[in-house]
Amino acid sequence: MSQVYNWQLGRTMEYPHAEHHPDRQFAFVFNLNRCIGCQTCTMACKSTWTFSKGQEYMWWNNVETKPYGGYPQNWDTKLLGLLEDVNPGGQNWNGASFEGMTVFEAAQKKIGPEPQRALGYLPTDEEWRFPNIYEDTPAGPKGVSEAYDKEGAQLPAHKTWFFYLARICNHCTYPACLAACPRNAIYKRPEDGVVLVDQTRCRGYRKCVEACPYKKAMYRSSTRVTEKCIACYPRLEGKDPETQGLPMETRCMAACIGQIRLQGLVRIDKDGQWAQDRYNPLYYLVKVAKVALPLYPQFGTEPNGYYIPPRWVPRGFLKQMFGPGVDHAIDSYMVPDRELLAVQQLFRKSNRIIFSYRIEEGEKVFETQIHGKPFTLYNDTVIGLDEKGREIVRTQVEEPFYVRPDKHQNSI
Amino acid sequence: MSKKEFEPDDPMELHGVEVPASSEAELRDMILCFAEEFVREGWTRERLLKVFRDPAYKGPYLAWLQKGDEYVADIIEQAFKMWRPVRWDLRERDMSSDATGGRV
Ligand code: SF4
Ligand code: SF4
Repeated sequence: MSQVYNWQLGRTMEYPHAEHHPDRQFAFVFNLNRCIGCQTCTMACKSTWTFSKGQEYMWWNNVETKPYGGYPQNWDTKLLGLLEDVNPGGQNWNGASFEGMTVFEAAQKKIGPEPQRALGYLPTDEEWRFPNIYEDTPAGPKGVSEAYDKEGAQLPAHKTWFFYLARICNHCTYPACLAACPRNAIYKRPEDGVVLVDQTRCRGYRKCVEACPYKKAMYRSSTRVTEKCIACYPRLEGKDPETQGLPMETRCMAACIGQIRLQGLVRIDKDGQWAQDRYNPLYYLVKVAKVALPLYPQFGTEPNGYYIPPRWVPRGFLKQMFGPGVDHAIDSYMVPDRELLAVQQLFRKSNRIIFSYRIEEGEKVFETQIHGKPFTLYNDTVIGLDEKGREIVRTQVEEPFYVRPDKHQNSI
Repeated sequence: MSKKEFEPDDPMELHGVEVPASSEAELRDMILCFAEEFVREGWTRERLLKVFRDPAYKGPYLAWLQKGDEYVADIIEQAFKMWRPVRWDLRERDMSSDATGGRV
């Protein structure tokens, strides 16, 4: 075991491999206050990468209804339970520092039939097979196409709070899938930190499926090897003709109807920390404004997906899911400052990866109170720039609103 | 659909996880959050209320089912007060001339 630094835990931790970091890291921010659970992202991914034989139950992108949903079913509560069994009452934060055990540390304490490098479990076929069962996905009457039950008649309406949690592989800084592989078939690309399974080395032992705390490594029975989200790397590499060689966002990001998603590549220092890059939108959201938080940071893999937490959900639940930064993130999000409001406009304004932004100040529109706090709205212009500093998108805080007339409904 | 009793040995049975129940304040904040997001984008009152009334949009719809038109409209109004304190009347008129298409 090596000692590695995990900034999300505010401490060093044990990891089976020595510290080694890419030059840039694939990362994303999802704003959960806006996800409408339409599953467009899910289908964009499915129709691109997992539409073949043996991939029927494979959803690299999925959207589950929290708190009752999960794919595979109960993935997070099961792992939280396993960690609690190993370290009863000890999975706690002390301020910004996590004092409990990560999946790597807990694995060393667990006595089981086989040693594990990361504490985990293999989901059953049933748990994989029914994504969104019991959830809020509209179901249609049997045998009738393009219709849905107006009242969602088969299930009682959920009367508790809920929100939609969109998930893909987090291309973790310290991947548990990679750590667990006895064949070293999983690797992290030096150019963008994307975590891939070498299909020729993999022998389908499923140690990664067992170890990934987010359950994003998936076994394909028809080829008898594991597959996982590849971060649409041909697009990242600029292979899609649309961007003429420039890095492009993934299919799931580009398809997002709710405009909840922003993806990028962040620069990484030699020591593994995010290099200071003040005007990279992801750096700003995660490191400066601190409105976007990692999913279950306590698992210890340093995931590179970040979430703006849904503000109406009980704080205890959110803190378990996103760590100690929840109060600050929600407070900042509810009464955004001038820069945050402008940066939010960049979500889904371009398919090309925005590497930095610039804000041109606009006129004052009004002064008011937002949630009891004084607030001034300025119609600033935010400009997104590509890798080479060229403008790829320009939009305003007070963006004009257009409705496509009926006669153009299905035209692009 | 016929009613089937709970069978504990059925592997597909729903597993219970205890979560705190939704309070009035949380429900209200969820409605307000959706309203604020879309008011900020320039949606009209009518367009927004239609989203809440539409069963295809489960989240807003479940809230509307429990609370009804008046309650939801009142919260939408509060979102307007916050994010459109001036000239929104004018904006709404400007936009509605174009607002013929779309389901919402
Ligand atoms: S989310 Fe899972 S599959 Fe993806 S890199 Fe992290 S540990 Fe590996
Ligand atoms: S496309 Fe966007 S809004 Fe729709 S389910 Fe996916 S993340 Fe949510």
